Amino acid sequence: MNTLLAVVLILSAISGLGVVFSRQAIYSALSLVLTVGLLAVVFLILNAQFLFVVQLIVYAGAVMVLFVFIIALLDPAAEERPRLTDPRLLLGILAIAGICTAVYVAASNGVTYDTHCATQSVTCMHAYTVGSLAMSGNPAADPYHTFGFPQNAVNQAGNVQTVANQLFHTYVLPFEITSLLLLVAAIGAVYLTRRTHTGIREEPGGERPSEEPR
Amino acid sequence: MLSPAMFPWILLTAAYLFTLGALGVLIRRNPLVVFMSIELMLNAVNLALVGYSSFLNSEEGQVFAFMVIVVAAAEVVVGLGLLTRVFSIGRELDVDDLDELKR
Amino acid sequence: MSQQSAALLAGLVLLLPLLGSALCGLLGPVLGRRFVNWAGTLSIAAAFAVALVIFIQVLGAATGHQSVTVSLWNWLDLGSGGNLNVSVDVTIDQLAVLMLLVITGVGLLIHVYSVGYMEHDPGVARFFSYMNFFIFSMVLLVLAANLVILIIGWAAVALSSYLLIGFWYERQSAVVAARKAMITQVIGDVALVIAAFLLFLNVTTVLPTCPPGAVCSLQALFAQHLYTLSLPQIFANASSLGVGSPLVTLVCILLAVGAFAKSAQFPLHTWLPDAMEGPTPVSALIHAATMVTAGVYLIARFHVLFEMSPIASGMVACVGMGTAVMAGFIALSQVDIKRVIAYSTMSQIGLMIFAVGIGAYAAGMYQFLLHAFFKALLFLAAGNVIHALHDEQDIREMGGLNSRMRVTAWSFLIGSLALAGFLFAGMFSKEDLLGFGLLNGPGTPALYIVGIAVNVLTGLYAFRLYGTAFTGQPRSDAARNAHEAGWVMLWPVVILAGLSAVAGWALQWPVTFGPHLINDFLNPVFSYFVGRPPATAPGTSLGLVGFGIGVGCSLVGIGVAVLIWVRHDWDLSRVLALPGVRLIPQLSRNKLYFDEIYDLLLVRPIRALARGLRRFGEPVMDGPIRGISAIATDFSGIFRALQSGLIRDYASYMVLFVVIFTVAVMLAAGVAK
Repeated sequence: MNTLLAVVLILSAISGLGVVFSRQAIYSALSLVLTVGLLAVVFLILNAQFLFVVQLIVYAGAVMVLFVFIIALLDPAAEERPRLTDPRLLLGILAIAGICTAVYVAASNGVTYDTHCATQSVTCMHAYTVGSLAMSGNPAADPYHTFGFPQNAVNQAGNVQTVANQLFHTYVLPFEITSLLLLVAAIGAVYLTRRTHTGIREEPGGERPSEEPR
Repeated sequence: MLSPAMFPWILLTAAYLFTLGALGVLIRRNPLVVFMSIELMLNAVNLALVGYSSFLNSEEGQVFAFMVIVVAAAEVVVGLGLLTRVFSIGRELDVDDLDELKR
Repeated sequence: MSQQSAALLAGLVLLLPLLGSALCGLLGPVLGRRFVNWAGTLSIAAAFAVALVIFIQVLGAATGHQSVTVSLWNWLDLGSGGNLNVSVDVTIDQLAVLMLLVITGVGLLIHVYSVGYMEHDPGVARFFSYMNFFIFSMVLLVLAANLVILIIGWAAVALSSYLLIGFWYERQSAVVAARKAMITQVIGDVALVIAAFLLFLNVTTVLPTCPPGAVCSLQALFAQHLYTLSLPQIFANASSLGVGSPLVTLVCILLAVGAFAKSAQFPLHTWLPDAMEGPTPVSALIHAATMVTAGVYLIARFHVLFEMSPIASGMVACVGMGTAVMAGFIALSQVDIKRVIAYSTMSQIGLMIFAVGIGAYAAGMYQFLLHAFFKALLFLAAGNVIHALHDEQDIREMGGLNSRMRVTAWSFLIGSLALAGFLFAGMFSKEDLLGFGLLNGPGTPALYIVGIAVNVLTGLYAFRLYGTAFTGQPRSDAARNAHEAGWVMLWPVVILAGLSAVAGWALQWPVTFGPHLINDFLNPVFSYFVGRPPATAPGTSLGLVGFGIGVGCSLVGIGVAVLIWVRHDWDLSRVLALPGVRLIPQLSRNKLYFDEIYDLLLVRPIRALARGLRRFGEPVMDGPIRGISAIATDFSGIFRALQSGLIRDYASYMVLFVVIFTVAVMLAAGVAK
C-alpha cells in the first residue's frame, strides 16, 4: 500500500507539471484529467471510497468534459513560453520551494490538529513530541488513537453511510446552501450565454469597450 | 496497512500541487489554462483534506472535500460562461488584455 | 418702574423688530409682498407702542428713580468672581427713551412710506428684513448698559447700514459705497473697542484700597480694580480715572473718533454722500434720523468722561462746528437732490456734536429730535420727487413741481424752513444750542460766530434746493409729466411736516420764557457730573440777542437764496467765473477733494503693499504647501502603479504574501525549525 501510494503521488506530481507547462491548452486539459484520476486513486487508498467515485464522476466526468468542450469551441492558439527572467515565474518557483519545505518540515514534526486540545493555545496548533512519536508507529504514545491511519480497511458502518450520516445531520445546512449555489450557478450560466442580437462573432479581433473618463 | 510516515508525503504533494497551480495562474496568459490551474489548486486542497480525514480517523474532512467539489463545479460553469461571453463579443482570450480593473 | 416691567418692556422693544426681521427674511419670499409689508410695518408699530409705554412709565416715575438698569439675560459667564460676566444689560432712562421714541416712531413712518416706495422692487422681503434688523440694532445700541452690548449694537448698526446701502447690489456704485461706509465705520469701531478696553482695565473704585503714593500689597492693588463692563458702574467710578488726566483724554478722543465715524464728521465723513446709493427710505432712516445720530448719543451717554477732559470735549466741539461749515459749503454746489440733503445732515449733526461737546446736552438732543423730523421729511419728500420723475435725481432736470406735486411741495417747503431755522423746528433747536455757544466752549464766542455763519449757509443751500427743484419752469419732460405720489407715500410726509411745524413751538423755546419740556425731561440724566459742570444757558437778554442774530442770519441766507434761485433777480454766474473766485465753487463741487486725498494717502499705498506682498510673499507661502501636495501626489503615484489591471499581477501579490505568511507562521509556531 505504501509503495502504491507513493507511486501514485509521484505520478500526480508529474501530471501536474503537464497542466501548467503545456503550450497547447488541450494538453493542459488532458493532463488535468490524468491528475484528477490519479488523485481519485489516492482517495481510494486513503479509505475515502465515496469521494473516489464523486471525484471521477463529477470532476473527471463533468467538469473536465466541460473544459475540453470549451477548448474545442474556442480553439485557442498555442501560447509562447514564458521568459526565464519573468519575475512572476521566479516568484512562483520561490513559492513552490518555500511552501513545500515549510509544509513538509511541519508535517514531519507532527503538526496536527488535536481534538483534545481544549487546554492548549487558542489556535490549537502546536508541535507534539507525542505526534512525532506517533510517526514512528509506537502505539503506547497514542492511547486514544488520535493519530495514525485507521487500522481497519473499511470503516465500521461503511464509507458512504458514514459520510452521509455527517452530511445529513451535522452539515445539512451547508448541504442545502450548496444546492442553492448550484441552482444559482446554473441560472448564471444560462444568463451569461444567452444569445444577444449581435450573436457570436465571425472573426477574431474585436473592439475594446470605449474608454470613458471616470 | 498504511504507515503514518506517509502522511507528510501526502501533505507535501498537496502543497506542491497547490503552489504549482499558483505558478500556473501567474505565468499563463490563456484564461482557460489559468482556470485549469485553479482547478488544480482546488484538487490539491481536496487531497490535503482527505489525507487529514484519513489520518485523524474523522470523516469531516471528506464532507468538506465534497463541498469543495460542488463549489468548484459551480464556479467552473459560471467562469466558462463568462469566458465564452468574452470571446463572443470579440475580445482576445488573453488575461493581459482584459485589464479594465485598473480604471 | 419696576425691574420686571422694565425687563419685559425692554425685551419686547428689542425682540419685536428682530422678529419682524426674521419673518420678513425667512417667510417673505414664500408668503409674498403683502405679508412682508404688513409684518415689517406692524413689528415696528408694536415696538413704537412699547416705546410709548416705556415713555409714559418714565414720565410717571418719581424724580431720582427715573433710570432703571436691568439685566435681560446672562449671556457669558466665564467665572472669575463675576467680573467676566457679560449679560444683556439695558438701561432705561430719559435719554434712552427719547432715542427710542424717535427710532421707532420715525422708523414706523418710514416703514409705511417704504411700502409705497418699494412697491415695484423684487427684493422687498430682503429690504424689510434689513430695515427691521437695523431698528433692532439701533435699539440695542441705545439701550445698552454695558460695554460689550454697546459694541455689539454699534457693529450691528454698521452691518445694517452696509446691507442697506448696498441693497441694490447689482449696481457697482452701490457696492462700492457700501464698502466705503463699512470700512470707515470699522475705523470707528476699532477706536470704540480700544476705548472700551482702556475703560475696563483702568476704572478703579472711588475709594481705592491703595491710595496713590502708598506702598501696598498686590492684593490691595488688585482689589481696587473693578474690571467692570457695566456703564453705570463705570460712570459712578469715573473720577478714579483722574479729571483732566491723559488717560481720560485718550479714552474720550477714541470715543470721539468712534462717534465721528458713525456720525459722518470730519475726517471720517466721506462715506455719507456715497451712501445715497441706497433707496431713499434708507437714507431717511439711517442717514438722517437714527444711525448718524448714534455718535451724538454716544458722547451724550459718556458725558461724565467728556466733562472730565476739556481737551477732548473742546476738540469735539470744534470738529462738530467745523464739519457743519464744511458740509454747508459743499452742499451749495451739489446737484443731486439726495446729496444736498446728505450734506445738510452732516452739517446739522455737526451742530449736534458741537452742542454735546460744549455740554449743552439737552439742546443737542432737542436738535436731534427736531432734526429727525424735518430731515426725514426732506428725504421722504425727495423720494416722492424721485419716484414721480422716474428716478431722476439731478435738480437741474427738475423745476415747476410746485404746481404738479402740491402736497409734497408744501411739505418740502415746511421742511426747508425748518432746516434753515425760520418759523419751524430748526429755529428752536438751532438757536437753543447756538445760544449755549455764547457762553461755553473753547474760545467763546468764536464757535458761536461760526455757528451763525452756518445758519447763513444753511438758509442758502436749503432754499437753493427748494427753489431749483420746485419753483420755476420744468426743465425736462420728466418734470413736466410729474404727478403727486400715492397716499401711502404722502401720509408719512404730511405727518412729518406737521410734526416739524408744531413740535418746535410746543416743546421748547430757545429763550428763557416759554415751554422747556426737553430740558425738564433730560436734564436729570446729566445732573451727575465729575468734571466740568453742564453748560450754562445764557440769560434772558443775552439769549434774546443771540436768538435774534441767529434768526437774522438764517433769514439772510434764505433771502439771498430766494433772490438767486427762486426769483432769479441776481445772477452770480459771472462773478463765480472770475479767476480766483472760480476756485470756490470748484472746491465745493469736488467736496474739498477729500476722496482724492484719501485715495492718494491711504488707498494707493495699501494697494501697492498688497501687490508687493502678493508678488514676493506668495511663492514663499504657497511653495511649501504645493510642495507637500506634490510629495503626496508622487507618493500616491507609486501606489497607483500597483493597480495595473492585470489579474496576474494581483495574483502575484497574493502568492507572495501567502508564502511570507506561511513561512513566518510556521517559524513563529516553533514547528519548522
